[in-house]
Amino acid sequence: MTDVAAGVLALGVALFLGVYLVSVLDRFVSDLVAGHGLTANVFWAGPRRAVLLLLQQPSRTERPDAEAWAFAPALLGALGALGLATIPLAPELPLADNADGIVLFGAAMALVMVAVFLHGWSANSVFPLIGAYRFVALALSYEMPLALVLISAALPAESLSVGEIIRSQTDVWNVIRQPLGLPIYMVTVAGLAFWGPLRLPDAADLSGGTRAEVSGPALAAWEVGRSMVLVAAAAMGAAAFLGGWLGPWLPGVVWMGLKTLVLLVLIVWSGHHLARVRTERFVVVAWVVLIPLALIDVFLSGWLALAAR
Amino acid sequence: MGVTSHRGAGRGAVRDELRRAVGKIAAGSAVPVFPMAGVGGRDAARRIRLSRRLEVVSSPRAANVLLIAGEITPRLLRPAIRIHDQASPPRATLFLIAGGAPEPDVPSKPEAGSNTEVAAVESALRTHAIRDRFFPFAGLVHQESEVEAASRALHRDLVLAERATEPAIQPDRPPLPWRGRGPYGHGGKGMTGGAPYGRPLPERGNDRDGLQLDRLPLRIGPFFPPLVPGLLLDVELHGDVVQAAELGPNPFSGYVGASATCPFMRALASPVRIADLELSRARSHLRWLSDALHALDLSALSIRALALAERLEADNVPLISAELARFSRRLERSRTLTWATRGVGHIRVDQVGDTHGPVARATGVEADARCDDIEYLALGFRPIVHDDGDAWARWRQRIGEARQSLRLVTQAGDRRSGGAGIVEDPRGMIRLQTHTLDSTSQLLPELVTGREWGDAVLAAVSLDLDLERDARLTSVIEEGR
Amino acid sequence: MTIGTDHAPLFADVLFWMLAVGSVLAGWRVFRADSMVRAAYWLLASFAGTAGILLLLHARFLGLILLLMMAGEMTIMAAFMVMFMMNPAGLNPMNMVHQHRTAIIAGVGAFLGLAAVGVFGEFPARPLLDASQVTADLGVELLGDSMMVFETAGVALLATMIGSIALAAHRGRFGPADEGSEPPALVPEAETVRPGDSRDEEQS
Repeated sequence: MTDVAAGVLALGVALFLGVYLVSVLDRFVSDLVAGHGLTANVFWAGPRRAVLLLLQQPSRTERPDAEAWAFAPALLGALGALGLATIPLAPELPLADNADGIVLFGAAMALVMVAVFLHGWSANSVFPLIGAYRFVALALSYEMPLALVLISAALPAESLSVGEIIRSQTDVWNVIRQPLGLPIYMVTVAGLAFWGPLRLPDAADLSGGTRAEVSGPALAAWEVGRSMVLVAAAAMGAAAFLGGWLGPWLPGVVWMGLKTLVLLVLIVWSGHHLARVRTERFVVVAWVVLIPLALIDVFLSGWLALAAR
Repeated sequence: MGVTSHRGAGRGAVRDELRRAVGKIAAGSAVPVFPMAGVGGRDAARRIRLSRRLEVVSSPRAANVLLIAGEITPRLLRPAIRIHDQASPPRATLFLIAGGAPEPDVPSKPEAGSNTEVAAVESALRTHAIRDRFFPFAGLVHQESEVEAASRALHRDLVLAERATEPAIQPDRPPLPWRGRGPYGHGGKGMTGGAPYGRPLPERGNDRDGLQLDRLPLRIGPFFPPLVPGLLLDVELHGDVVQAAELGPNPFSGYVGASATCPFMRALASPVRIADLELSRARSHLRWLSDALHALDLSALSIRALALAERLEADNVPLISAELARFSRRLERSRTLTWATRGVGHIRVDQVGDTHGPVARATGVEADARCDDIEYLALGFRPIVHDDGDAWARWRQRIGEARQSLRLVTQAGDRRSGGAGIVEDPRGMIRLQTHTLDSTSQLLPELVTGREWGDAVLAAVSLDLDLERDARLTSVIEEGR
Repeated sequence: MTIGTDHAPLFADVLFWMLAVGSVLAGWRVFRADSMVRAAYWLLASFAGTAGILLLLHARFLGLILLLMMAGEMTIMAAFMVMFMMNPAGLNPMNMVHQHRTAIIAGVGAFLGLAAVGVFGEFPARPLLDASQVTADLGVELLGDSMMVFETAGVALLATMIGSIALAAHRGRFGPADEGSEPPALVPEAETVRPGDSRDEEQS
């Protein structure tokens, strides 16, 4: 039981740190790109905004589906937490190492579609609704490449456990063994957390998309939930492709944190540099380019894994 | 006072203290502002992006402070009131009314004032009247420089509960009574029942592929953030495809007079320094660039572009020029930007018609009033032309023209141009004699019809419309008659 | 997941009953919901309960895959229902139940039949020795003796998917989708007539 308590505590700390880090990084990159000077404000802006939103009143629309509207941000956050729970942050942390971890991660990330769709649909308003349907198109397109590159990462380990996948990278990381894997995975991460060029459901041309009608605590919860999904996805990227906790000199959990940080910086950077792509263009690219590439990745990885036996 | 109530009071005091402490944390955050631009308020509403203390939000729901910059004309009033009521409490409104501080009951009489000054005072008086009648609790500033401090003060008082939130102006009730039965109630017979929202189900109509789909009529504007202020667009959506679009009336018509501050308007009547004209043109294109980047969710890059525009002065042209060169290289190399804009909002040459300016030149039409100007020709001016006619061509066109303008500024010296009743302003050719109006905005419905909503918005953004300019040209031409 | 009958039988029993009752309740809500989207997601909730029971049975891979697939399936189902029904975006409340008598008889009959199998059927009692072996056994089954069946079905499904995408794609058979396209006329070289276009033609 203490193991479980320790695991839950570690998960909570990791999530909290991760979400805070995302807010700091986002503000930092934004200030840097905008040409503002850098101040200590980057550390406080996120928490201050969260407190401000908690003081705001929630908004009402005409005949919303109130239950689903309240449920959506909670579900998004829970899925982020569940996704992170499948990843052993260090070999010593016992809770996470689930024999089918990568499938559980995939299931959690598939349900993100439900959370975002409900968030947009239940407001009973035009722009959120368009955002919701946009996300369905986006999610159905990135879902397949995501599943395929994660399966490729699992092939050399001959296991669906994330811990085993990390251990299988002792000699060489998957990012080198499967050069196609990480780039495809990072595209799907941007889709999962609808960040950067794939910020389609919450886009400015929809006046905020699925969050156009949301204010106050619900908006704060939505932003936090989105960051949690981003953190979980980045941590999975670090585990599946960058060797997770493996690394010399430093303790495992530090390596894990550093690798996750690198991927987070990449995604947050893209959010301030890369223009939002058109839904249609992304769907075409995902089906015509990403899925075939991901299939090649699966075949090559399987062949290499068989050859190594 | 009993013991229990005393303890209750003590607990209340603790709660107030806690509320205050939390409020103080929140008061330090950037103020979520939703700007609404009326007549003459567009630049000020845009410039709040530059402030780090203010944060422009994309939806009024998330705003604490609503900034109303410039005059609210009658056609803008009802939308402004609706947006006010949509903002989640606590909320406050801040009016920016430029042009002095006339007391509503003491009509100021500019003794030696020109027509323009009289018009400005009248405009301010009208806005004061609207504020008094509909927004009695709203804050008020007269200078753009005061907006930041006033917004912060409003925000601070709101979150510390020292200022009451503004009540809704209109009653909050559905436009028609709910007729469904039960908690959601489909209310009627058959599968879809009657008309639970009190209005009929959408009619169906042919979509672009010949399928029958539900039609959703929708009025966009005049404060829809990605589009230009004042643009009213009645669209009919099939899902997220624009099935039909119609341009609404220009809310600024009749409320904009000739402006003495705009160098292009002055150049119609008398020669103006080419350096001034070109600086103004470059600023305008950079401001457009900022808006366009904002519509693509690149808010940080948008701030960068706007900072270039606002810093640009005659004495720092080489510096800004170099920065713009770096910036434009980066944009033109951006693959996602080309993905987002290439092929979007394509204009054919035969559609150009009465459209001038960068939009026409990005479609391959080499029309530019500067080509006929001996002073410009002496500077070696040749218009930039792109052939593609899509949004990406217009992006490159304006960035290229901004850089060209900066080059002209450095070469122009004291040369002057204008006075012949014809001038090329950043959006097109203005000719007094022929009384033709630039028709860029008329292109819009054709351009967005049959497009997905995202493409439609990017196409509209790429046109760089300015409804205030349209209204001004109309009034100038009418004055000329 | 470390949930298993071998650890705490009582805990597992309580969990099983919660999931089972929750599944049935969610299934009941499917028919009480007044909107296509809500009905689809209640069905997803029902499936989630079933997935939980599969996890309890140590069929972890099956349980998780059920969840993973159903998340997408239900959303697609909702989208398709919305597309086919005259109900804008599934926002208007509507009656989700029709053909009451047939539906009730079929539903009760199926439930009783399955319940009878569950209660009276003889299930083999083979204790699971190594839980981690389940997924591997499943893989051997799928790619061993039953490989032919699954591969045939899989390739057929893939071909269907590719075919439908080719039809629905940007450059479909009716021309580029974003320029608007029309189905060909029924008679060769006749003019295309869209459904509902006759009125416009009379005017012009």
